[in-house]
Amino acid sequence: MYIDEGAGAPLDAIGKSMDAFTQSAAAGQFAVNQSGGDALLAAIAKMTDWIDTRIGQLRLLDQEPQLGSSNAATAMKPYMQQVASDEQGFLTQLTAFRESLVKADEGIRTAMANYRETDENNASQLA
Amino acid sequence: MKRALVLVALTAATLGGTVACSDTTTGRAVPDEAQTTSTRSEETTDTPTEPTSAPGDDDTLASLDPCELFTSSARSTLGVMGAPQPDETPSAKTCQWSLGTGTAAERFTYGVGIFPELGVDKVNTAGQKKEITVGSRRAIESLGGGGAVCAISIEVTATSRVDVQATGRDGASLCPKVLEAAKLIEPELP
Repeated sequence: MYIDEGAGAPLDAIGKSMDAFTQSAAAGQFAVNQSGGDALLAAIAKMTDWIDTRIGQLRLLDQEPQLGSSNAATAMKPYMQQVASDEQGFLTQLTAFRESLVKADEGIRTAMANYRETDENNASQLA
Repeated sequence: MKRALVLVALTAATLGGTVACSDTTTGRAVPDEAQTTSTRSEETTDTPTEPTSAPGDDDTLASLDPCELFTSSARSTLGVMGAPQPDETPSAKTCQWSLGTGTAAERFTYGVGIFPELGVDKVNTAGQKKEITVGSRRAIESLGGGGAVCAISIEVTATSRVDVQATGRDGASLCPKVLEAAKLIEPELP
């Protein structure tokens, strides 16, 4: 069964939490060490590449000969394109997810920089 | 009354069937000479002439492997680190390579699609489309995939083409990269 949850409900939440994550990293509220950060970045990179490959394949699939020029086909065409690219469409959701990964990537890099900075400060105090 | 009639009809049909099936003829089956001749002559006239394969033909294109169109020197020029990922759609053989480096904002994926029976006039997109030239060939640059893809469809014949594309955070900004890849692939095309 398909449940339409309205304006991008599930991924919208991910997007918002990623915004908060990036902001708190920028504010120096948390830090991530090199090896932990690298593992997170590798996972994000893998997921980003997967999304790009899927969207790329969808675009190639989109080249299939269309319904034709009958009256019924002409009436259906705009809606079929809409299913993929409207607000709740698969493409839109994939793109939104990709954008949240960009924010997560930024947040983790900032948190890694925070860690290095804290580490260097501590080291300089010990010296 | 109706049921009795149906029963009678069924019994008759079964009996008739049994009789028909048990009716055998001894001897050897010989094909009807006249009929065979006419069938043969029909076959001869109906057989379509084999299309001649020439460079630039759709058949030559159909036998190409999209994963081999990105040569190793092309991959190193473009900085592609990812492994080829072959796939297909009902009308195309495809291959994609992720760049494999950079942040989530920077990284993107190249793709090639061989369409042996779809010309550049059939490029389907809800986004922008413009005519360009790659080498000496006619090509169409288009944005698709909800704006995440920039594609260049290179004409091979009037009814066949090869699409080179890149998918990432912002398709439009990837168009120069796609043009660079298209120029590297174009000499490999029939």
